[in-house]
Amino acid sequence: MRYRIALLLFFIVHIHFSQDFNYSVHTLPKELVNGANAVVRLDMYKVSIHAFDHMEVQSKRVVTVLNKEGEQFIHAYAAYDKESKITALKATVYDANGFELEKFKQKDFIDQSATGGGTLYSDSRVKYLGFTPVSYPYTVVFERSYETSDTAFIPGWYFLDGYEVSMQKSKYSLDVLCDVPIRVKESNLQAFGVTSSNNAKQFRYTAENIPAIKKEPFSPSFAQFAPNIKFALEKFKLKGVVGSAKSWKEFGLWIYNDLLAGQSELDESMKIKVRKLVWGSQSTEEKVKRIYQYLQDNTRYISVQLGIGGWQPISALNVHRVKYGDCKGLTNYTMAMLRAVGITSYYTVLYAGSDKRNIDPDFPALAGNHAFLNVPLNNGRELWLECTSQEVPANFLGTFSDDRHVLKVTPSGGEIVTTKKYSPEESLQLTNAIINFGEQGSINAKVTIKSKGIQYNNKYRLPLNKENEIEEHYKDYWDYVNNVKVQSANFTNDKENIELSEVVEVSTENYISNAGDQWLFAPNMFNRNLFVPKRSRTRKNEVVIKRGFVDEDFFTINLPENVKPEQLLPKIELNTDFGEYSLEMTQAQENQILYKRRLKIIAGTFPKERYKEFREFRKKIARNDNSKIVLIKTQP
Amino acid sequence: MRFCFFIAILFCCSLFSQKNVEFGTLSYSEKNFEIFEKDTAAAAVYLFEKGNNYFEVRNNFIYLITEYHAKIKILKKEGFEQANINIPFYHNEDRTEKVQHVKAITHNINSRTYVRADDIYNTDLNESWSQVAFTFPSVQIGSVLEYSYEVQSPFHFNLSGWEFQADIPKVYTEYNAKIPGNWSYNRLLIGEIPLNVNEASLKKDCFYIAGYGIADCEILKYVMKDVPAFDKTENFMLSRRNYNSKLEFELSEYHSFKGFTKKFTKSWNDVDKEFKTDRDLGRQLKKRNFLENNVPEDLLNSGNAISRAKAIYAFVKDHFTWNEKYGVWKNNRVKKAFEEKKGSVAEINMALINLLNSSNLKAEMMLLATRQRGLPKKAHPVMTDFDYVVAKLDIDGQSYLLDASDKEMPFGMLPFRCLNYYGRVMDFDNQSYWFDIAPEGKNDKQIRAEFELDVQNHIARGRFNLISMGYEAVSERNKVNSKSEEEYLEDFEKGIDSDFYITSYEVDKERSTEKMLVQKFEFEIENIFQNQTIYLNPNIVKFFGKNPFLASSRSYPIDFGYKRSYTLNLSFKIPEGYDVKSLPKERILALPGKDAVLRFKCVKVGEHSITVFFDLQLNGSHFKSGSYQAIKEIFQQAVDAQTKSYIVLERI
Repeated sequence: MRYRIALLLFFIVHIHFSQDFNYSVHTLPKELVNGANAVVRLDMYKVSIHAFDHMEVQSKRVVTVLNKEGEQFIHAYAAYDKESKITALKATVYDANGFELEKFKQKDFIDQSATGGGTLYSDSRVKYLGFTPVSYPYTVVFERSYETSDTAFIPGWYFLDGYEVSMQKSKYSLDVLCDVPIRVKESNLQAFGVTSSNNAKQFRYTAENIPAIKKEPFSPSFAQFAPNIKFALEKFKLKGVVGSAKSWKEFGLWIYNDLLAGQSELDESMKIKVRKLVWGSQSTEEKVKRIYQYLQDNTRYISVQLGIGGWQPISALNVHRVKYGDCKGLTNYTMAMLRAVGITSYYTVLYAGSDKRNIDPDFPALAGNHAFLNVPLNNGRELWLECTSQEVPANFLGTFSDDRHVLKVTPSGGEIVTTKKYSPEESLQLTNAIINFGEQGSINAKVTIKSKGIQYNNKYRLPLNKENEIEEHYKDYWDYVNNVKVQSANFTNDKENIELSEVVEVSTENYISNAGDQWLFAPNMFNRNLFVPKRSRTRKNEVVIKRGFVDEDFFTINLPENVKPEQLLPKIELNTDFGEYSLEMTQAQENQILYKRRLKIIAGTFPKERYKEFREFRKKIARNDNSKIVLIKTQP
Repeated sequence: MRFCFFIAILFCCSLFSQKNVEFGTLSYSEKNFEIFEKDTAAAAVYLFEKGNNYFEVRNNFIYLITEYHAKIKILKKEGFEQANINIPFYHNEDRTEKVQHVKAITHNINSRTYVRADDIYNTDLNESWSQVAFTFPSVQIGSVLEYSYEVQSPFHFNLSGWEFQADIPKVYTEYNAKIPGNWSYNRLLIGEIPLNVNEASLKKDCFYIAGYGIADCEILKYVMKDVPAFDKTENFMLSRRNYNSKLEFELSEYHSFKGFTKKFTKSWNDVDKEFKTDRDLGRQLKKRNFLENNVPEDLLNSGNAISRAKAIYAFVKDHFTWNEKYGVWKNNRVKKAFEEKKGSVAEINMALINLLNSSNLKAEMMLLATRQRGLPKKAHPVMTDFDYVVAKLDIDGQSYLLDASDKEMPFGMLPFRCLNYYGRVMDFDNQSYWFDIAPEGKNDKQIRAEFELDVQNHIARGRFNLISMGYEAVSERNKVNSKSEEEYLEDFEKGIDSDFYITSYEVDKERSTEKMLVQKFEFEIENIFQNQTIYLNPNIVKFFGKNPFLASSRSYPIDFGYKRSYTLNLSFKIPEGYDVKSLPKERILALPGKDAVLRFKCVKVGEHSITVFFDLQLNGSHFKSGSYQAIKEIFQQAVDAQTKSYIVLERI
């Protein structure tokens, strides 16, 4: 019976696939061309799960590329490795009128290693289409089939590929042809008119005519609102390793038992060494920090991805021998060292990166692109250790791993927890400057900058740069101060309190502008926020500010004897939902003026109608930060 | 005195005594090396590097063997990337190079850690290249990374020389070669760093093949010491290949024991003859029949010489899409490219030459090197120096260089990447010859502007024309074409000021030509002044926001590619009830010989208006490194003149 269903299905699909299509671009509806770099004419995807360790995928994709930017949406490539075999691969390119230009068989695709930057070796490879267009628009029809024993990732589906691409017809089907239970999660389907007809073993989705969405500054991440579906099998195989899970608890258990167990042994001599390392420590926290310091001083990040090694850490013994590893290997090694002194810690999987992508708490399935370590302390506190970095202080998350759901792997199973979110006040940058004028308007200044939280994230690598690179950094940071010369720059990286201090001495000959016998002087010399987002007449997306921060600035300006300000800048105070800005100047003494500024940006999501207001706020900040005062010479 | 002399010799010899350095051992000074005095910022340094090339018969084949041995000291964490080693090797359909005997050790103070064979990876990169990759274990600050390997190559032309200079400094770098008389190589030392050892000797009967013969060898040894790292690249430079210290070899002849001689590099005479019948070059210039039959009839026959040439150039530009390859030496197929309407630079320009010839015009192929490639050597033909083909056309004693691969390129101009001084014209009827590339001379950016001040509303309103010529026109057109008009204008506005708005824009099509783009803008600037006294910077459009020259010094020349000038002519009315209190000071600055001149001046004209004149002229395109400070200063003054000049207007 099952066979007959399968056969019938194949037949239906076959009919669909051979149904001829008019590849001319002249029939394209106008609303799909507007604002699009490419139109996905047809996107068909058919997944057949024959067994928990056998999946077959057939796809056909027709993309009309309207301009150069649209080429990224062709997606004419096929990855393969030991577990995945390409069974069919071809492409045909048509010109704007629908006439065939060129045909590509499997052997015409370019075959190369899929090793990315920063990876020493990986066994995955890719075949991709190398085609140079003569003119736009043109249409690529791409067909691919592959079979794999890797079923830990069931290909999910985004009915739209991203910003600035439209979609004419998208069809997804999935058939479970065996007795393994499958789970599905649907997101944002209704808003985009995706229709479906499903039962426990058959899934059919269709979407039509979704126009392109414009990419705008401060937009939400595409994945957040895009229509998508995802699937997971309850029993699956990954690079030869069998697993099963219905919940995060079970999924975590599988990772713990099948991928991590046995990898964190250390030999006796190493155990003794670790014990010596923590000798005399007053607290668990101190022990953890000493071991973390040892890790940072002795290992470095090198990625080697071989088979299951893409998912399983190399053993602690191996990392110990070569003193390098990828995120999994180094995290596991640290866990092993902590265990040697009786400290429990948890291997944690996440999506790293500034996008704050979550591991979906509602949908247990293979996920994540990074690993780091969670160490609970006895008083309910915990420490996070980023084991791939030689610089990041213990318990600093930064934009790489802050404020998101992550999967903590414990011996009793997986657990979704949320990492720390930095408040604007925690991400403080405090700038103190003493600005001294010379007689002819030259300026010497001593600037002290202290950065914490997310602002520490932007700065902590600065002291590692070469002298000329540090000088270039300041020339760039203060690029409105033409020809600034850095006399000295000293740094203190306080890893205990996670604070970077910069003490910079600079000089400049021609910061002020001459206006006849007067000087024009912009008192905000060392922290201008001049970014103004693009004007938008037709804002479509919500406004998302991902992270907030606070800048506080205190400048003491010492003028020459014979020079006086004509007028100080008026006091400014702006209070909005997007943040706050204040500015105040006072005359402290005859020749001394004080400049005080505070800027707070608040993270949040705002309706699209308020974009203009947000832009206005940023514009006012830029304008005020650029304001000048007139300095008058009182004597000849 | 004599005693001192003796010591000096001893000292010298001990420095050069690194003859047979055994793998796996460090000398006392290597172990204790702490800082490279000549560049204290260096993150890592080669303590020792040695290469050796020779020929050897193995399994009845003659192989070119390259032995390599290096010791790298890690001085800072940023130097850790030196621990990742990639050894690329080449193969074609029949034969392959082999990387073998890879040995690597990390030396730390109290330990030595070997790289194990299973931590060395072999990856196929693409159809011609693979690589052996590994990384050193246990790398710390202070580690010495030592490795050695051998490449066995069936490709004898791959004896290419030695790079003395790298991105990190080298304390000692030595190159040896033992070359049997059967092979002759041209050799050339590039860069300004002198050799510390330069030895050549003859060794009798050093190479033999049983049953065939015996040959003498030339034994070569070159050493450089304390080689600095190559400077970071900066704006406006030619290829670093022109300056990076290197010994270059190119195979010129092979004399077989069997008696035949194969010439690889030859005289230009030989090259001319060979290229004339070469399948990828000369023969591709004989596709006239095919092309004549596939282009509109009157394209080749109507009009005078120059108008025919322009029409053909426009036709070829329009017909072809460039596939982003240069493709000089291999797989040039003009017919196929024509049919597919796309091809490499070589195919497109050879199609162009064919058509020009079909139209009875004298056009030849000119080989050149792109700026990135470096300058071709003039002493003898080194074909690998060239990576580009253009057409040289002669009409009535006037020469034109044409490249139809760039759709925006006006007739007679080459893309910027080609502005690399000279090329070789392959005149197959007579003799090839060098020909200078003279870049377009007029590459100006001119702004003519006028505006009025609306004192009540603190707004300036006005209009300006932006006229771009020559290469500046090409680059502005590329900017316009790469995005929508709205995006172009948005970026234009953003480049000026957050309160600057373009209220109307059009291209003046009547005045624009191939080499000139005239754009007309109307604008408004809000919040241009705040107080009773008006402080106004009249430079509404700035040519440079900041100085493109940042480095405090430069050890290689500045090359702008072409001469250029930037001019602003502006006038505005003094508003009713105001008068001038002060004007910005005049600036005049010139390099000796007026190769670069800056002028800036504001003048009150009559009762009611002010004119502003800014002009930066670069009348030369190439400046020696000695002029760096002066050039930097002129750019600084130009930036200051545009960003810091205020006119003060006062109520009367």
